[in-house]
Amino acid sequence: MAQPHDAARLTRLSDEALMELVAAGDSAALAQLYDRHARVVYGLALRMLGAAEPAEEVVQETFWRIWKRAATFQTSSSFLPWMFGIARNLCIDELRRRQVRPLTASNGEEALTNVPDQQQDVEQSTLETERRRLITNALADLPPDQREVIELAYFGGLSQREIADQLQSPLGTIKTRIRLGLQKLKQALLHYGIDAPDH
Amino acid sequence: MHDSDQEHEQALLAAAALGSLDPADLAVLEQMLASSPTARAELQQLRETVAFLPYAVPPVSPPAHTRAQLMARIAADQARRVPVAPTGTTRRVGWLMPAMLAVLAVVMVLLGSLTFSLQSQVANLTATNQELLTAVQDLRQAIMVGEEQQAQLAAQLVRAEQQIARLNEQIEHERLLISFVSAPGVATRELRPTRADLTARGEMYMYPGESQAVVVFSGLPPLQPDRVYRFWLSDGVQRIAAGAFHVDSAGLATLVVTAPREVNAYTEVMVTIEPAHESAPGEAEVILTGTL
Repeated sequence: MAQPHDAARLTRLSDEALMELVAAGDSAALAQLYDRHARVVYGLALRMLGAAEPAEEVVQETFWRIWKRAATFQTSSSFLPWMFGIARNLCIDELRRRQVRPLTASNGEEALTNVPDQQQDVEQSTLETERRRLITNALADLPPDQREVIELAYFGGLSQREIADQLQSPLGTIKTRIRLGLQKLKQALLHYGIDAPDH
Repeated sequence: MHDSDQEHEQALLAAAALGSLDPADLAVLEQMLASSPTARAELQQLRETVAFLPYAVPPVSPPAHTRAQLMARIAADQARRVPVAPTGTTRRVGWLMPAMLAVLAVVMVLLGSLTFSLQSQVANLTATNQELLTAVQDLRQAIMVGEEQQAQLAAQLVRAEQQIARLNEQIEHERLLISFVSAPGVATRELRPTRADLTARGEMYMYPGESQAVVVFSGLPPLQPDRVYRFWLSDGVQRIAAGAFHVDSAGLATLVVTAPREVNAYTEVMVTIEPAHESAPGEAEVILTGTL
């Protein structure tokens, strides 16, 4: 297990390198991943679930599963899609358990503004702020109907057919909007110079 | 591939990356991914794009207790885990702990063995001690039995010695009788009953000039324990008690007489019945008499 004096070294490691340590039973490496990504995971859970308590449970369970399943993670792949996939699936499970749907985008934003952010790491906070600005701009560049279906799919946890039912649009239309919107988002991120997200 | 097919494929990949794929399309997607490396690469890229979406949400610090609970959960899990291969700077600590555990295990094994050995020795000593105690008790009993037997044997020996003494005395007595009876020159005198109803008699063997004589009686009735037969010598002037005797169940008795002077100096002998501790010839009944 990593010792306190290794904290500085851990901060310099990539997520994938930290995962190698986590797979070896290094709880300090997991703590580093938590400190690095828990705020985003918590924000995502708050956005999807609209309540603090279940969102906290999602955060804890996400990193617990990262700890328990670290050996199954392939370090050749990216960590963030894997981690957010775990968190998002937990949120969807919670939504299905409650048989309710998440708040609308506007309501979610309002809920989030009521939760104080206690981030103390200025460098991390600055990085996240810049990343949020870029992804928000990339989403803003999308046509509203494409942005809407992407947000309903990702943050709402809805399938394409459920989106079609909710928007009362043909399924083919929803599939096209999702396909086009995601392709444009990908190009926009490349345009803004954002590569695969890393810490 | 037609544009429509390509669009359909990209639609499947986009939905899969967003996690919004309808269950009905899942089998088609899996078949496509299994046969198309390009499709797998495209899905990976789209997933990485989707991984940016959470950053569109304002990040929020979760409560401190969430992290504390998580790390406590992990610490508990680590305590249950089998130690994993140490890396980097953790190697030293990781090496020491198993070594200490190994030493501890060896010490525990040695202590266990020593304890087991001592317990075995104690058990053996206890068993030996018990055997010795039993043996001592057996010996004590044997000694007691031996002492009893020894006492019995000693009593038997005393009785045997007494019998031997009596036999020697009897042998000496018999020898004397034989010497008197069978010696050449012995004189015999007869003692007869004073009453007609008595069948008793006596025969006295004597040497002229000797002070000893032997008298053999027969036909005398046995007396009460407080009564005895008494033998008297008389020279015509006075009578001298010369011995007391009992007869056996057959009415037989032998008496060796030792007189104050030579027996032939006396003229008469007689036998009376008297109390065992008194001698009063004047009043006693004379039942045998004879002349010398």
